[in-house]
Amino acid sequence: MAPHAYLGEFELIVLLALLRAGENAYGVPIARVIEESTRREVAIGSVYAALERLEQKGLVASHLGEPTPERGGRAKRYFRVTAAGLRQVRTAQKALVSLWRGLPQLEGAKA
Amino acid sequence: MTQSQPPAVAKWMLRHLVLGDRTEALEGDLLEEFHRRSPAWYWRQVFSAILGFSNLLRIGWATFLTVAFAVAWVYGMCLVVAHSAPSPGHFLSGNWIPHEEPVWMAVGIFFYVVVPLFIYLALTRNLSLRTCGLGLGAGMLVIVGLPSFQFHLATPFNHFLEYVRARHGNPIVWLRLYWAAQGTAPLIAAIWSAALSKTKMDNFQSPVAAPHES
Repeated sequence: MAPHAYLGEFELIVLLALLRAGENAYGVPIARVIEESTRREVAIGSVYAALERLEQKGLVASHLGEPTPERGGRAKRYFRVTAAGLRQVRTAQKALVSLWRGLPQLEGAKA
Repeated sequence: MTQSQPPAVAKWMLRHLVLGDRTEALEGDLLEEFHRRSPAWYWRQVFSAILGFSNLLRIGWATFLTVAFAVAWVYGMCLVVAHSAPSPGHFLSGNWIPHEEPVWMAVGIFFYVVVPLFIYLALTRNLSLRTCGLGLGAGMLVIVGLPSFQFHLATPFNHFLEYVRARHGNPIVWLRLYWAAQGTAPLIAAIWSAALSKTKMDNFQSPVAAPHES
């Protein structure tokens, strides 16, 4: 793992949403997964900005699909989580779970 | 009522103001999603994309805000002093201030740099010891360096004024711009330095970034 490949909160959310969206994930389904889980409107542009940062860190890879008529002839950009991205998510999960565990303030509180 | 096509102006802005090679995919995504959304949603998405993608525009917007705030403050202060000091004994007439030059200078720095810098940092939620210190340091540097800069600029500027007078008549607009630049330069420098130090600190300390969810 690269020592400086920190994951921001939103980047982690995008990575998890990308994993949830599965294969052939592009901007729209990723944004929908995030909206459903956070119950907030998400800017698709922000999702792309986060995905670009993740791609620069080597945690995500992308390729362009074929243009389709319902998208005005614009191609989709498909994303997938790389092995390094998966490792990074696991690391973040471990860190967060260990921080969460045993906090009396959060015991019995509604999520 | 749902439109079949997104607002044309928003589409144009998306195509021309968003930098990078993601525009095509983003445009397609927004068009695909627009069919179950509203024009207002499309506008929000476009503005968010512009602010999120275009660092140049973001810098431009921050610059505009900084300059606008500095100009508004300095001119506002001038107006308040000019129109609210009915008598020599009035508080705003400044007669209560000792006439020594260092005191006047300190009062000027306080009202034209320190106070607006604090207000700006408080409004933008960037108020901290570090941002205040760096901002005030930069403002003071400009105040100290301004006379020397003016001295070197005086001759070429006078030549320029002569040229404008010969070609277009009264150069009062240029003179006013020159005075405005002089009056606002310390405050602009102070705000910029403070804002820059905040940005650098953020980049260094916090990788957490969840920008532009609306």
